[in-house]
Amino acid sequence: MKNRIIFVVIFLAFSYLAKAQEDTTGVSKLLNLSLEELMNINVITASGFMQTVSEAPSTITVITARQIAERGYEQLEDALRDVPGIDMIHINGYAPTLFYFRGMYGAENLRALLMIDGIAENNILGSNDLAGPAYSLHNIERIEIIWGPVSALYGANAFGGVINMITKKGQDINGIHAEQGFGSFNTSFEKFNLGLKKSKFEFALAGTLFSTDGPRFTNRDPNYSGSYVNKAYSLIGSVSYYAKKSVTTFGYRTYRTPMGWGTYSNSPTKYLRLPSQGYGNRGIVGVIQSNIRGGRSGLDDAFLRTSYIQNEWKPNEKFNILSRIFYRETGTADDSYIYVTANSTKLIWVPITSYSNRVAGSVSVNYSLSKRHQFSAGVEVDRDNVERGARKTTLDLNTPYLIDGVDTVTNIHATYLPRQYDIRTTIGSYLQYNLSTNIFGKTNFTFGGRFDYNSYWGNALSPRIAIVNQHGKNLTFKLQFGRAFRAPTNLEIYQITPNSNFHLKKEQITTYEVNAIYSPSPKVRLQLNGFRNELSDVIILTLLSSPLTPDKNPGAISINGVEGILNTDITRNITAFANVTYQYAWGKNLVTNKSGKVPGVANLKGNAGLAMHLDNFFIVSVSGNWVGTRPSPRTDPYGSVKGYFLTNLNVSTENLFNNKITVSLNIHNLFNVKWLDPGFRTADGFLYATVLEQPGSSGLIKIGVNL
Amino acid sequence: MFKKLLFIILMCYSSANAIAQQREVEANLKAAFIYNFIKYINWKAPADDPFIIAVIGTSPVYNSLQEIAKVESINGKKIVIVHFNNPDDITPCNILFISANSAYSLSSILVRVGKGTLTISEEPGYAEMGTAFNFVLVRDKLKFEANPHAIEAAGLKASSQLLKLALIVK
Repeated sequence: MKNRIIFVVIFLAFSYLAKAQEDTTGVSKLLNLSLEELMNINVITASGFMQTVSEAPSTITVITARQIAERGYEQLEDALRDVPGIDMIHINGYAPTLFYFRGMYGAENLRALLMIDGIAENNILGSNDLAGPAYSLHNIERIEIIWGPVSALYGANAFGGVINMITKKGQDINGIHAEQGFGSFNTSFEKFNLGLKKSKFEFALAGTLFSTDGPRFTNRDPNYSGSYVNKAYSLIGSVSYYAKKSVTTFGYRTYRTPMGWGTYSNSPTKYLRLPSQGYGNRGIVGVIQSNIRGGRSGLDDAFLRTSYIQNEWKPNEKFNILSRIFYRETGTADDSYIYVTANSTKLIWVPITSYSNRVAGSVSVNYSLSKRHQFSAGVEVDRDNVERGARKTTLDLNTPYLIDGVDTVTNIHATYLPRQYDIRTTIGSYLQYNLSTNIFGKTNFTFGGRFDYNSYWGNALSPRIAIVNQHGKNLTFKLQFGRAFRAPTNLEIYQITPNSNFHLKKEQITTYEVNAIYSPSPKVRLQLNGFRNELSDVIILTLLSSPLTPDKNPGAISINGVEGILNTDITRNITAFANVTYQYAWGKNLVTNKSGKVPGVANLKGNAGLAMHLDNFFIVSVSGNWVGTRPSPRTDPYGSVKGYFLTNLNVSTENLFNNKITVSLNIHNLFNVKWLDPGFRTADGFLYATVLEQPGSSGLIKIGVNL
Repeated sequence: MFKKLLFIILMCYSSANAIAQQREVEANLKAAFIYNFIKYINWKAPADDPFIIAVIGTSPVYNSLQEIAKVESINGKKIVIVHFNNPDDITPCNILFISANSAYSLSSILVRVGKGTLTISEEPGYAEMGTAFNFVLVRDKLKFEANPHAIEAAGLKASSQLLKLALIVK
């Protein structure tokens, strides 16, 4: 009898709790949302229940297609510029800008996962490719940035965060969209989107072609031309078949970015018999940055190609399975090269290439037992064929060649030696459980963990806990804890002396985070984030490259930060955003016992912007990016780099010729402010510049046609 | 044995309950969309008439619209929700929502819809067949197709802001 009563009580409680959930998805609540917000609500999410950004058990920034258009974002870097929590160092060449998530300077672009439609896009080898001009946003429906460690779901390298770019599908495009743009520095680009859904088939194809001479830094060389991009392109296509309860998609995408080395290294001004480039740089060692031998100064020709097939099977609203197989190739094409001098007397021509591939398969399952209990689980197997660092070449430094009657160059007949590679296998599995309760209003608990095994770096266990409390309609609190890891790359592993029995460990991070979100009305959203990142076993490149003190994982970094974010619709036609970040990053080298502020990270910075729809005809968007003083590396004689404030303007038309034609004008650094980024790596003025000069005003005009 | 049986029944109940709730969520979302559409349409109805939203066929959207009608108005006009069982019942209204559960063919409904009525449906292909707006589920998100010819034929004008968000059907 007693048991029966217990069961009846549970039964009634179940019903009551389920009923309580309806309040958050009630029609009165939905009436406060705009059409665009309604369109962004998942009717059924992967976990089987409706969830908003506030309810999600993570800190998420969403950049919508509308914001991309209003603010004139052309590539990923433009969009990341306006969000809190990302520090950037612009090299203006050699792969794209370096991004540092929440104060995590170092490990260039390796501490975040870039995903496109859920498939990781990062270079397998570990060179610092993350986006770039070929990664255009014209075919992006939205960008989701998940902050903090998410290895519990995604495995290696979901360390500081995950950037997931969601592409527009055929039905979203529903026709043809083409763009042509021209801009400063002889920039030109063409972009297109075409797609449709007909019956059970959906098709989407997007592409870009981008070229620029890039900004000129004449203090490095009067004929500087190292920041060019020559016909960088992308092609992204997918075909989906919609069966009654499943969608099967085959997709292919390729990105290629032939570009100069920019300000990656110092200019060898002594060799070129030029005045010093300034800022305490020595000009003895460096890379040629103007055209030579009738060709470009240098070339970094990065490529990524991904093919995938996936099936989403959803027999009912409570259960779905996503199965995916993909094959990806990444590397630097073998036409890449630099001219470098180490002693200011002769140049060495250095060809550079690498090639790696990955075959991967994954199955993830989401099951919603009820509105209270949701489970997610998955298994992933990756097999990497990864090159052992940059490919070795023949080396002849003793035979000089006189080029153009001026330059003494050696090694010009260098050829590649056979490719050496490792086979690495990763097996990962995860389980996550969400529990929804009506404790203190509505409180959701998320418990998750992932276990990974890799044939090089061994085992990794990544737990995650999140508690989300929605107190009334307007207030949300979150508490988050997570651990994640970054896998050492083959570039790092093979920088050390050969045969030294050297074994790198994983970098580890533990993050604690607290969030408060307050929406006094549907038109205002205030968010406050507080976080602490503790990094251990940090890999430091300069120690790895020294044969004398090759330490395995010598660094530790701790970062405390606070972010304040405001998004508001001031009127129906005016939207605004503002965010400010305070962070304090402290690092210690456990070999040298030296400690200090982490370079490249501003204590204070902020962004703000305003978008106005004028007469239903123009959209004017103004934004400002303020970055405070940034410390430089200990080895940098220049010292700290002072802050800057840049203003950006975008004006675009809407509804011109019944929305068939759009025209936009974008000006970056409107007031031509002179600004610098701190140098990266050693920034000692020897091989790497002490500071990196940045361009003044630049503009872009774009015409789009919708058919 | 009894415990196991009871447990299974409880689980089944909670599963069925969750599915029902899911449908309600979707209905609420559609009703919220419909309410938003109203703001972007240039209506020509006389100022003193109530704003009539009709639903043909059984649909949980009807209940969600009733909830809206209790608390909202359109430019000071009361919202009235009416229900039609079959096409012969159709009387002049501002919006006609055609439920996926309607047992009648679309053409038999559309021939009875007069000028000034905005038709909204929720079946794949219906916008191409002549409704002004049609809800579609795209990767778990509710989107809407718009048929500009059908809107024009109804003697209505949709703002370009609304059409910009729609999947245009030609």
